[in-house]
Amino acid sequence: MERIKLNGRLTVEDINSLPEIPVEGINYEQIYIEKEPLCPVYVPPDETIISSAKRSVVIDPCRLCMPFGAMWASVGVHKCISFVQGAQGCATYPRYTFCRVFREPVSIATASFHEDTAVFGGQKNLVEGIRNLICRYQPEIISIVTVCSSEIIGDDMQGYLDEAKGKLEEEFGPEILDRVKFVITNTPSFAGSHVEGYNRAAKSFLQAFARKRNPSNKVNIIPGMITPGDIREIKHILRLMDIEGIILFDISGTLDCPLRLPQSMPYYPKGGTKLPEIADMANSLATFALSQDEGGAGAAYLEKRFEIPAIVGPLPLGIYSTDRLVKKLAEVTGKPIPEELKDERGILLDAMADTFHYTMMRRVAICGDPDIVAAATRFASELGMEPAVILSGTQSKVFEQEVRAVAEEYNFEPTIFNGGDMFEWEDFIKREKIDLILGNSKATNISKEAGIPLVRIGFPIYDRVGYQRRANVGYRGGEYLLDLMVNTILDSKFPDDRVHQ
Amino acid sequence: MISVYNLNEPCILRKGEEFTQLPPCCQPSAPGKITGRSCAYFGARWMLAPLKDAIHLVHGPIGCAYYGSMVRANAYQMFSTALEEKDIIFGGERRLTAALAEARAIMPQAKYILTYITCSTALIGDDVDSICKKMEEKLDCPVITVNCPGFKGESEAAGHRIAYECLLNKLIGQRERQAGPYDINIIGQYNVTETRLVSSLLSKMGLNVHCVFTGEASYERIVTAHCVKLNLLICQNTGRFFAEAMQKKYGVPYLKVSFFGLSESIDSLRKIGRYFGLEKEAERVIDEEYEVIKPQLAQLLPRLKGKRAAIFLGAARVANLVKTFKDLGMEVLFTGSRFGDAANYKDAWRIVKPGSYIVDDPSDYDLEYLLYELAPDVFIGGIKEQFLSHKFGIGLCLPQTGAYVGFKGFSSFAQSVYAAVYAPVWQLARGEIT
Repeated sequence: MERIKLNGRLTVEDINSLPEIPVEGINYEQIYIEKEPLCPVYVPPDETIISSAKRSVVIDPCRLCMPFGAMWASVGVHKCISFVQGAQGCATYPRYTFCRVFREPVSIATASFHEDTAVFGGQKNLVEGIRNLICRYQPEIISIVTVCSSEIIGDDMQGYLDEAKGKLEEEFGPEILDRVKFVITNTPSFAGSHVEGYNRAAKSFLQAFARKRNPSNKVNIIPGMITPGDIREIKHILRLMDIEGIILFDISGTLDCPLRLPQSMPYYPKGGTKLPEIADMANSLATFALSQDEGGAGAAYLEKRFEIPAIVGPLPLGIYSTDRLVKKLAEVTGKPIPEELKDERGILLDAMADTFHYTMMRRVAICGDPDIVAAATRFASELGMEPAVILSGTQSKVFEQEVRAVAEEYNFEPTIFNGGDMFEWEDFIKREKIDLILGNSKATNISKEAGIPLVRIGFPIYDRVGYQRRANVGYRGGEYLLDLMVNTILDSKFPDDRVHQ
Repeated sequence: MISVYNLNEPCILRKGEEFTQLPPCCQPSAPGKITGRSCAYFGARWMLAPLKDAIHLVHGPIGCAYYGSMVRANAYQMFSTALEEKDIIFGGERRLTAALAEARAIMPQAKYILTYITCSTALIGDDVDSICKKMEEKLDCPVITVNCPGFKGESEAAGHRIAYECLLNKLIGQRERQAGPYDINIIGQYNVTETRLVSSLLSKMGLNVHCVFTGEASYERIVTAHCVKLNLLICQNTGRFFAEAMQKKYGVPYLKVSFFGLSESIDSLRKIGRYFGLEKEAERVIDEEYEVIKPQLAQLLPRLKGKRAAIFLGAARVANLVKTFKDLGMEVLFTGSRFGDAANYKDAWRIVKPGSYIVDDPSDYDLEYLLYELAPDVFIGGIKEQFLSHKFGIGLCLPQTGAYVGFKGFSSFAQSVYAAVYAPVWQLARGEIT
């Protein structure tokens, strides 16, 4: 077979000389590279160090830094502003990321570390910074987030905060401390990813604010890093079941806000979990941490400290996982499962019945954060698909167990990259026959190069609009995701004149 | 509630009848500010990301690599040492050495390696320089340290300078070539699409664009970049230091030009024509190009006349965009930047109308205030400001990712501004349902 020059743009001759796409997968020689390659001919990478386990260098990571997770959590709280104890970039890069993904303004304050801070520490920055932030924005909660630099310098955050509080009291009177509350989350990025950051924030917010009072009939939900649309779907399920819930880090009202003019100053979204609600979480019937790795620590804290049973995972994606959530909700609250919800389940099943021809035995590649990837693996299996290669950007024991359990149940043998990078995942995809990719926007280039269609799920999705508003969880979310997957398969695997049934 | 508004840093100034004083600039942001500024690493990535035949390796925890891979709405491949706790405690030098060798093995076709230092690795004190020097021999390619820990300098401007210093000290002047009579470099054009537009415009005049920093710069062209007749300086902020250094070190003169906006493009082409004695060619290109966009401008300009705009972008655009809006027949209510210096603001001060504001490093609050009080018809900003502006019912136009240079670029800029002003959504959003 003739080698095609990868000169960045295919000419008519190039296209004519392309042989038919082989069934075994797509060879490197045929890959259409939109990015400009480094040299005219492709040089395959050294085979021995393709696996991320065998090398120190990480190529195209599929995880963000830990402070980002804590900032995400803080954005989900009403009138809460994150104060990043680090350099300006540590606040600005996450703001870019939020803006890209959610298309909403997000306010994150910075302690503005400079050379002098690296020498003298960040005490002055925190004390001054908190005063400045309060003066300008009058937040109700300031969520102090540490980053690599402040952790390495060894800033004594609690000590600095006490000093800052003392100064505030002196300047504005004691009532200032009733109006503004503080919470510190320690998130050095070298100790974990954004997943762990969210997890730690869940614990630190509950530690700071949850207070035991009279028991209530509510349930706590810690959703993890799912979209505003997903959270709305969870609320919908709760409403159908007539259950009152407290959602910790409810980004549905802060990262997907209406445009209603005239807008008042300063801009604060209406939504977010309110402080009294977080306090009341110590009195609920149970805590549902939908994502084990993102929020499990919060549920565990409530169980240990206030004896509130923790029900952890799985993310309610597809039939089995949503069933589990609904059953547990019914069990904990004693409420019946309503007919309407059973109908929603039936509609999803009906959709699955009508489309299994397209989904059965399709080999899929999945990448993203551990919880959503594990959940998507199960849903894909429920559709009769065969998850061939599964990447969790963040290392997680639970993820691997869950995926192995699903693989055994549905009888397939996946390649699992636990905590790997996009490079090894990409290499696998290009070597093997894969029909569909389930992943975030990081997989876009890979999908394009390998000519395998991509269905976008998880975080981050920044190259398409509206995904943050759509739900993938719950029965209705499953329906939406199923349609998306089937339509993508129809678009790519069937000629247009064969789908007029 | 508290009504104290005293941060000891007036970042907004209004132009009165007389010249009073410029905004204080090049100062570190006050702690606790919700600033738009970023770090030195961001600045260095902004400049160096388009260098395509290099391996970009970030020596630090994973986050920096993830964030640094997206620059100007483009995804670039990033290598990272992804430091863990034990590396922070015992030092990341061994990991860096291994990572450099592996990166080279994975990308043997790369011409050189750029190693970025982050906050973490600067603080733990890894001797990156000596490792790079050692690996240079072993890997048989230049291994360059980009010393850009996030806390360095006041803003991303520090990173811009660091990036150019790296190119200047480590790459430029490595090889010689015979310079043609019309060989030029372009300095300060980073957007890849805009680079192509500018290059095509200049080659129509008969000039030969050798190297574009950094929108179109291969290794071979960078190392011989000093062998040209003239440098065209486009982004005056990020590139000025570089152009001056090239003049001092290699005797290459530079010319300040800009292709953003109609009058600027025409002026610049004439200036270049005069320098090379290509006046006729310049006039021909101007006529030809202008003829193409005339019909569209005739349609758009009457409807844009008198509309009011606000600008908040990179430093070089503070004054430059005011001129562009003059070409469009629009008024500028405020103009500002995150990291501008005194020269930028002085330039802007000279050309804005009395009553306009000049802003340096405003916080979100200041921007909100300005948008709320002045209610411009269109806001020119970055993606961080985009959604805030939309919440106040003001359309935002994003020039950083588009292709708005030259004549055709001007007409598409007019189109984008028109779209932001006249999008029906603003009218609909102002309506009520009762």
